[in-house]
Amino acid sequence: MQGNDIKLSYTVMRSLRRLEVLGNHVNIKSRTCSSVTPPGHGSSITVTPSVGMVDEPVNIHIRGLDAKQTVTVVADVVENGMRFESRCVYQADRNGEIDNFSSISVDGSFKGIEPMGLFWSLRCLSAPKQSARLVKKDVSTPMNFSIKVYPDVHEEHVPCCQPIMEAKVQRLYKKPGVRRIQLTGKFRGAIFIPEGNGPFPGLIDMFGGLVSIVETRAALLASHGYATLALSYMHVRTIPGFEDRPDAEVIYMQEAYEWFMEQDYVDKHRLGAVGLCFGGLLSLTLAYILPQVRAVVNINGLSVTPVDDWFMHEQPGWPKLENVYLTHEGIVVKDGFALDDRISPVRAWKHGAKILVIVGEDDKQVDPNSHTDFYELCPNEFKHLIEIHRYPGAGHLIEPPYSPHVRATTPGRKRMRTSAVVPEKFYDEDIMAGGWPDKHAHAQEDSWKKILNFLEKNVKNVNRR
Amino acid sequence: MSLSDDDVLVLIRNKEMTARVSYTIQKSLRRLNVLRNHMTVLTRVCTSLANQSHGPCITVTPSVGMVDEKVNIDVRGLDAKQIVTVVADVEENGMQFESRCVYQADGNGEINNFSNESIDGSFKGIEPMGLFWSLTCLSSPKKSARLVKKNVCTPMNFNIKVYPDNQNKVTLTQEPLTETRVQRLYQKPGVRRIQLTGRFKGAIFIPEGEGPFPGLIDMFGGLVSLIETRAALLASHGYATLALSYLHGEGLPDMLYDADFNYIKEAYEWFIEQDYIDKNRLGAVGLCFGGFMSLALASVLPQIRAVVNINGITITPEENTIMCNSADWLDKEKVFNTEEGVVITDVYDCDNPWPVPAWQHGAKILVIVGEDDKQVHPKWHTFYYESCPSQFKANIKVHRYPGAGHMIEPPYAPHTRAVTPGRKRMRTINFVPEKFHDEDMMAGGWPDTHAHAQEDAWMKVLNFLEENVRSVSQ
Repeated sequence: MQGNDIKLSYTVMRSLRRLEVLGNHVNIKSRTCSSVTPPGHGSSITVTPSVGMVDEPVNIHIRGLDAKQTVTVVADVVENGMRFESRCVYQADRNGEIDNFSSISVDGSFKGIEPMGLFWSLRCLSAPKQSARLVKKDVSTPMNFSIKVYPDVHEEHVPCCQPIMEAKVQRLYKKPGVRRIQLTGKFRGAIFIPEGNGPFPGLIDMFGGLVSIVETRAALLASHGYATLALSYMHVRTIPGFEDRPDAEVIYMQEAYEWFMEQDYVDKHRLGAVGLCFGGLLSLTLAYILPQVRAVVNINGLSVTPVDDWFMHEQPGWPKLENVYLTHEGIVVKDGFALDDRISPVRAWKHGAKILVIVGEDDKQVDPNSHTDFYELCPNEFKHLIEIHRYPGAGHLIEPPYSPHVRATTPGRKRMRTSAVVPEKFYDEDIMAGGWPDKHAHAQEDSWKKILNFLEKNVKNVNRR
Repeated sequence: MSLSDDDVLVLIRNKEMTARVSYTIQKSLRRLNVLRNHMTVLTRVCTSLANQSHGPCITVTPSVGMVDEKVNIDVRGLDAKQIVTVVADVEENGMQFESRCVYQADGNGEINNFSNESIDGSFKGIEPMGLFWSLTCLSSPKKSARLVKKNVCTPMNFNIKVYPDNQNKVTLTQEPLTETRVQRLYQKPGVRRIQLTGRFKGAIFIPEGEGPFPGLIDMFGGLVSLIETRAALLASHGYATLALSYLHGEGLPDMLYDADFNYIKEAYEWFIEQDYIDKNRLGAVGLCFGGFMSLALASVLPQIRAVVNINGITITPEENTIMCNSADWLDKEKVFNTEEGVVITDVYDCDNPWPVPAWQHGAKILVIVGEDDKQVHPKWHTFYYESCPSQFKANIKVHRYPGAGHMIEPPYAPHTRAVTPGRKRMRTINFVPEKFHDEDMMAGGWPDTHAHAQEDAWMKVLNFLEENVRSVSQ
């Protein structure tokens, strides 16, 4: 053992030293993440930060349980008259503690180690098909979550005991200081202006064709320092003169953007566009039309069409409604946009704009392969402008991080009809979005970072290179 | 982590190793693994925007949060072992406050406020929130300006910038390597603030929701008109809180000796009748003279379940008398000047001190003591505890903080060893002789020990109120 003595003890010493350092880190981490701890008796849950931005993670720490005790943690929130709930089952460690960053959920609406699982696995309890989407309508107020801990494995819908402890968490879309201005004239939607004097880099933000307006991403972008125009375009065909024009949405968007960039709080040299779904198609088109757009983010939006300048021409027979089919989860519309003969990309690179494409590979509304076509059809001298990020297992609605995932949504008759991509026989069905909860959640988290970094580099800091 | 499991496996296979030693190593390895996971997730928690590309990048999380919660500051993309200066600054009430610290990046070019040691600057050592509590005023000549947020409804906006090298004492002229902003809130969104405009002056903070809520009164000391910071925070923790102004305002007395206990009592009695107040769950919190008044309220109002006295005087010179005009008490001769400011700890000395019996209706009492208090002598809290009749002693808890001064405020509030009241305000403290009216008044305490005291005391205060006010009917 002689020769090994020295080596062994060095290894052990090294391990022990490392244990000590890491032990300190963990202690400090415990200090970080605990605000109020009742001394000794009783159990407690602390969620930090108790109020914070929706795109930042929270730490949930539970202590004072018995060693190895099993508990169910339930999160719930009410939005737009609907209750959403998620749950997970954790086992406390030997010290009777649970931490969402290290404990494994063994059951519930998510499994495994998923720190933000309670947020992205929220599902609507009231809606029959659980396909109600959790979208905050009023982004100026906090979203109030309640997190409760129950003993043992606590089943849904089973009336039970009182929670052994609970905490509330507030999550903000809009940083205090960001101003929201409602638009009331010809242009509908809202403008979010960051705190301070400006001028600020400017963005337009648009969602898809099935919603009137969703302001969540715009409020967050403004919280990250961009003056953002959340533009609603659903009503465009009711504006006199716009009824039958094939380019109604584009002209309207262009006018809105040109008006927006003239505002004194917008820096005309630092402009961009962000869009999901049809909003992505519109953003690419905007970059094609206006040289001032420096960067565009297309999230799962159509980027290839049957003809050049798609918005200038009626396209009879496209999308091909006969290609839309029904599954037990809802209708799948992506094949409606299939292109046989000509494939024409929206030439967003025309004026040198940088392009970021975010793709959910399980997207059921826009074919993930269309983004490959977009890239391949881009002339070689512009290809360097495009960055594509593909997310296996993510669906169509890639939203800011920790938004709950739904595999399908229920737009209702009226919206299905105005979308013009669905045959009448399917107006009452759900429309599939695709994606699997955990993969979709990870994709949202990662793509948001990519988007913010991309905008930071290509819009906010664009003059400084 | 470059400790290779293979290294140890080779050793384990060596037959000459005893079973006990291999068990120790395995246990260590298991622990290392667990802790390594913790560290990995800690890194995940605390990184929101990871700028994968190039150049130094600072992220502070949460980017907006409550002032009594900690923030994590991560700097990455530096060179290995690079020295940088991190500077925090904030503007309040027209004054600039700044703090600096000097860190050395680790082998990966990374810095974290929870693990790095500051080797120079306005604080030293491992102090996660040091940049906040070591802020000092740049403009004021004596650096004794106090950072107190006047408007608690708006966020406090901090800039955090990273500069190369040790630039602790240097005027900063270049662009920072990286910077970010942090917003800190006193008032949680949803908490409502109601300005009082009638006879009673101050503001009421009502938590979000329907109520009724447990109710508190919160008062500061005799040198200020109104500070709402603690009341806003208490409301953010679920208590309907009356931040009462009792001096230096319209319709209010100026002189400390004119402070009217009956006004305070009547304000409290009015407050507890409001429909958002749960009359069975009431308390009182105060700093300095406000602490004294809180003890007095508990001694006359049986409804008060719990009192927090932070460095407030606990006695009067006359039995059964709260408001005293005794000429012997608060003797001017006992005030002395030092190079840091006047010290008034000794003015309360008297022959027959009478402890204000806050215990007599069964209220629980929490006393927070800064042992370096230069305004109220810490001995009065010992005296208070000792004077308490034995049947009530179990209701009093005294927490003493060595190295903490008079103004123990919510956590991470910067510390000052003295304040500059100015002639006009100093004059209202009748026991300060006129020759000292232009002096600073000492508060005491040392920055780091005072900061740690604020952090710990706040937890004690919140737990005490949780147990003895909020959860009391249960």
